[in-house]
Amino acid sequence: MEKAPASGAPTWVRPDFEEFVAARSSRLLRTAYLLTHDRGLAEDLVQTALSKAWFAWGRVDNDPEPYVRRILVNTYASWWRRRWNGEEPTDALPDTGSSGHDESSAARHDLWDAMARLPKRQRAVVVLRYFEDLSEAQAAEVLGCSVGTVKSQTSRALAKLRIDPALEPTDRPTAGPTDRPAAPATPEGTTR
Amino acid sequence: MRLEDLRSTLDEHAGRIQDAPQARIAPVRRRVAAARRRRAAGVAGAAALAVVAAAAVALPHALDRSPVQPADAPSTLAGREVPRTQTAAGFDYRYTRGFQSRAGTSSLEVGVRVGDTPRLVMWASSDTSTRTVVRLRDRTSGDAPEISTASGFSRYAYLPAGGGSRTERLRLTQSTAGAGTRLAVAVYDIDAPMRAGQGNGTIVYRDRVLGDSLVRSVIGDPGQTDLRFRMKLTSLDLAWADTCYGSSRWYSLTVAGRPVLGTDCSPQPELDAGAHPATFDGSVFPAGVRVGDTVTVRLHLSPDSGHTRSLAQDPDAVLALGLYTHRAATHQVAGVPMPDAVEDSGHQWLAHEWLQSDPGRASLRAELSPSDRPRLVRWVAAGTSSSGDVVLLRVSPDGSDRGTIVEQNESAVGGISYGSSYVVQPGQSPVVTLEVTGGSTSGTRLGLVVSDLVH
Repeated sequence: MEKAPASGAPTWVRPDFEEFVAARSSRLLRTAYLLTHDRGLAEDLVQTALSKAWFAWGRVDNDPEPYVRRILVNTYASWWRRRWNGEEPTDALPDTGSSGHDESSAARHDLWDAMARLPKRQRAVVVLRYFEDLSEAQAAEVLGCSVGTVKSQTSRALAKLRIDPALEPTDRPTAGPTDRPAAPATPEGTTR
Repeated sequence: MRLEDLRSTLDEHAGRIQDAPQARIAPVRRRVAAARRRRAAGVAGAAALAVVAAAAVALPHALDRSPVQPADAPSTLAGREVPRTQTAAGFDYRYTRGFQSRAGTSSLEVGVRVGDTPRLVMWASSDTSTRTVVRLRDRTSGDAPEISTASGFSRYAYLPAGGGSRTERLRLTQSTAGAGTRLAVAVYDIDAPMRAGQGNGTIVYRDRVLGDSLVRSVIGDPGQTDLRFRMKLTSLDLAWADTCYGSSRWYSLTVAGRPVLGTDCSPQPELDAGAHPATFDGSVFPAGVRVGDTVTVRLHLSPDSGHTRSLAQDPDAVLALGLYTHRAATHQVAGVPMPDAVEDSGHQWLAHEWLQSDPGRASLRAELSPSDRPRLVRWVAAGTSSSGDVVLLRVSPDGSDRGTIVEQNESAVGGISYGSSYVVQPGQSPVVTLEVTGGSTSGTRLGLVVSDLVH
């Protein structure tokens, strides 16, 4: 087959996208899991973010991970009620992931539960600051807000965690997961 | 609570996640393809979209000419008469560009520019002496090839709009080629899309979507960020096709004072605004609303993602709503109502085979008999756990039990997962296996729906 000379027109061939998915999306999945506390939702969130990023891949800088992470976090923060043919809306809080705790302390377990009760933006700030180890400025860039907002959201999140009933001082009886009153449904939990 | 505890809690939970990122490529690709289909955006009468590259093309005059000239679309290609028009998913298309290979070649590669409107391509071979197998592969998207066992212009492939202007690199190959064999590709542009229904020149609500009819459409003016109307209900069984474009803010739909939906507005319009109307499981109307009542329907642009009454201003935002009758026939598969008729990949399909597992079974296997027509396979999994179950759709085109995973979905909240569809090409008789890993429960049900191509 003879090949015609290249036309010079732009094409959308981007083998690096799939390489990125293969090499880097596991890290994104972990971030998504920390945000959603649900393995299925996390996978959905990662796939959503990646498919959104695909459309802008040609415009992304050399390192696309911050860009995809920004999409992921902001998609998570803005999820309300998804529309998709056949998808069942739910009024129930998502599952909280595997129950296969082994040796981890009750305190960590309770801290994980307490995080699930944080508002989405605050949970996102906590994950970006204390899992991704982003600076306040970097977290602000991901979230599309000011550094001051990151500071205030972080402060509020930590304050909420400190007063969460699940994290009461250890000199008082600690309520177990089964005898603790059910967590109130957060707005984001009930409307997704 | 110490920050060290917080960090270690996050690390501990993140470390529990096991992942197979390679398996994520296929579902992401399918989501991209679905998004591109949904973004079938455009403006009527947009400038002609040029086909800009071709290999082994015997029609050099067809290249890089805009607007399209009649000579760019010869009536015969590869010795075959080219259909002048085609319909796809409710819209008319017109043949505008033709390509053919030199004699004696077994492949033809073309680049087809796609912009704000979808395009179609049809393909053919001059070879009628033997049973011809022609494969058309979209090398840009990496989708599975389209295969035709008839040598004429018998099938079309749909190139969805969206994602900016791009060039799809299509490669047509034939299994065997004689000395005089030519291959050909014909390209089609959408023609007068506003004729398909009610529109504003940018989006259109088709008069009919599969078996459902348009009851009412309301399209706001640019910058009208609060769109309200009152309607008398002749039925509660309606499908809703809300749209917002020209903004990246949030918009909400409220019916009779009840919040129904909040989601992102899209910067780009979708031409086919009524392609995917939603029923919201019949939960749109507040309790007490009856047929004959008059209700207020409101769409409005919000400044943020919360369901708020406050309005955002955006001079380019356009809100619109189409209401359709909802009479879609369904079959219960694995306890889930699955519509019989669907539109997918620019084609219409009708279900003819429904398979489901016994409760508690973690896999469902189906051997599809050979057919000269494409078939669509959809799947559903119900009663799975969202805390570890993974649903896999495995397809083996050659009929063996070792197939390729074409779909991997984590189980959804609510216990019901749906997959994107898979097209079985003509001549294939694959084994399709749906399975749940991670342990099934006594309530797990799996279902497969096989549909024939209607158009």
